[in-house]
Amino acid sequence: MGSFKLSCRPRCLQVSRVALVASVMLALFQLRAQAQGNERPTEREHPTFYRTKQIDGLSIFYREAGPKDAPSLLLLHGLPSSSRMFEPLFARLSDRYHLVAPDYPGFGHSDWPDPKKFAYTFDHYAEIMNHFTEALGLSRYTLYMQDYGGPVGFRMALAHPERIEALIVQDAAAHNEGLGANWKPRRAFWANRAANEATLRTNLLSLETTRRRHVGSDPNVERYDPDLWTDEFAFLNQPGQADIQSDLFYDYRTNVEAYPKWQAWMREKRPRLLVIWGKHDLSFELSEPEAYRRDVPKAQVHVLEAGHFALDTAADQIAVLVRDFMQTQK
Amino acid sequence: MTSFHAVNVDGQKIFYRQAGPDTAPNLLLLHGFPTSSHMFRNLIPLLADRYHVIAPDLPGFGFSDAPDRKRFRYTFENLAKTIHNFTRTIGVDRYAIYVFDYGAPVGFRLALAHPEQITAIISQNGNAYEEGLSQGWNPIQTYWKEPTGANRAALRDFLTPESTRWQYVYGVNDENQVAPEAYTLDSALLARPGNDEIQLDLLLDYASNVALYPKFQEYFRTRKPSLLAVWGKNDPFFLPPGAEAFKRDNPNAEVHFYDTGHFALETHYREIADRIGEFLNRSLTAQANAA
Repeated sequence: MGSFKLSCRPRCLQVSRVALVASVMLALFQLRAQAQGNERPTEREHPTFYRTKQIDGLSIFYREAGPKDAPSLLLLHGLPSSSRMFEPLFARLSDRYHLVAPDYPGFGHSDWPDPKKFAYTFDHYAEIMNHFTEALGLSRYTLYMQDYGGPVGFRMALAHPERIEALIVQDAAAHNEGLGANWKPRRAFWANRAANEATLRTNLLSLETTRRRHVGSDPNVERYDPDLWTDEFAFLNQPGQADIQSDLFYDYRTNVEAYPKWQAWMREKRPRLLVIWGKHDLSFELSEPEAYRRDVPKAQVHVLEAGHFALDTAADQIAVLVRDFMQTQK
Repeated sequence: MTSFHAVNVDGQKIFYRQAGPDTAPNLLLLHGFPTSSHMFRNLIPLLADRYHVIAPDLPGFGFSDAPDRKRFRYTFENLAKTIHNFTRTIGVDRYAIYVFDYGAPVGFRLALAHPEQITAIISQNGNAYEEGLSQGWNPIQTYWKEPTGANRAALRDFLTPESTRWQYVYGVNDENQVAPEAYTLDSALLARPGNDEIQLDLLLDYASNVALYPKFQEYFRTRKPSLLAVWGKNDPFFLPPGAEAFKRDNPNAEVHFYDTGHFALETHYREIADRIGEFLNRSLTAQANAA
């Protein structure tokens, strides 16, 4: 025990969480009285805020940073991540841009309604995300879409093209050829869900899959923070998650059916388009980034030394690409 | 860019983050309970242009091995031994230390055992004085005094997801500025089978740190290391008097408070990084000139 003087009163021998918190609160009062803060008022110019908003009866979590009168970037995340994947961009772009990144229902820190009572479909996600932008007063924005962010974002763009300043596609597919050999068991699941449910769940939700989505074919595994997939796998293991993700992935077939519609829209509207791709991405074929140029000939296409979650390792480069793209928009 | 590594130290895997040129002065970052080197994710990039920054996960934490309690005694002395051997394994023999929470008794032990290796000390809510301990320690002190099963079980409250979140948001002006992934990750790793008993062992052994406070203080008095205290002043565990006390033993100590909680980096990493950069530049330059 050394020189430590125990000053415990009888009350605190009956330890409970209430007593623990209460004793800390008491200490805090003393502390506030004692503290002679010599802190100068410091201003973090553009801190990130972690907020929630009620949308269609659900608590939707989102990150927000940057000046609200600056051009807005709406960042839509992939499977099985959350707005967390955009932290590296928030750190690099919030001086000049208004960044907003929501978590979809069933992901991250948004509500996870029971799949019996809530339709986990991409149509539904796009509808809720449109309501989310309306609630925030976002009337015009550039979409940054990664993975699942593609099917959500393209639906939002087709529903409200007037809101779209430009599109940034990062490792998100919109062409059937982009779904290669590893989509075979997934296509089988779409064709016959009951027979392929167990295979799909392993294929989609295992720790190994979760890790491989990040590292992909990158030989430099030391560039990847294991927290990334540990965080995602912890979410995927929560009660109810497997059912949610299975329902949503079953609906992914509707994306493949909608690809021609999105392509036609891009050909017609010729939106300003920046395509960023990690060359170690094993989720989609490496032909996919160039495929966008067929729809939008002026698309800028950049294939980087990175994986499916390219921001894991190429955040500096991507921030520069996004900055240049946003600046030449005017 | 930060990279992520693991090395074998005394037969166990020690995970660490590293950034910056390996020819630059070394800065060893030592994390606290119940987190890992993840707590330094925002700080590391802000210092890596000038320093070789290394942040290991302590045994039982983060992505380092959590050996069975029968094979590894979870004491702060053993954590310090492992970290000392870790620095030797990666070939880092002189370094500044940044100590937070559990990192403090580990880092101060390294300084006591190998004072010649320590170039400077940054204590962020890293305590070495009894007046720094709040009454929040009472239930833990009860367990030190009477290490019964009941007193041990009572401390399980510290290991719940609610308690972990509370440690992050308490004393923060705007909870909306605390990223939820930090406590989410900590909770996921605390929930690993057997990790609860490891954490309770360390809570019991924390008494050995308090017993060493006079030795740590003697070290501050006699060696007068360059020391910067950066302190979240609303920390429910470690009070501002614990920071002010550094000045009593070491007139060279600099103390700065921030209007935030225990995990001060979550809300103030930019300000703290600026302060550290300025402090290290000044201290290390003065040492180089004196040498």
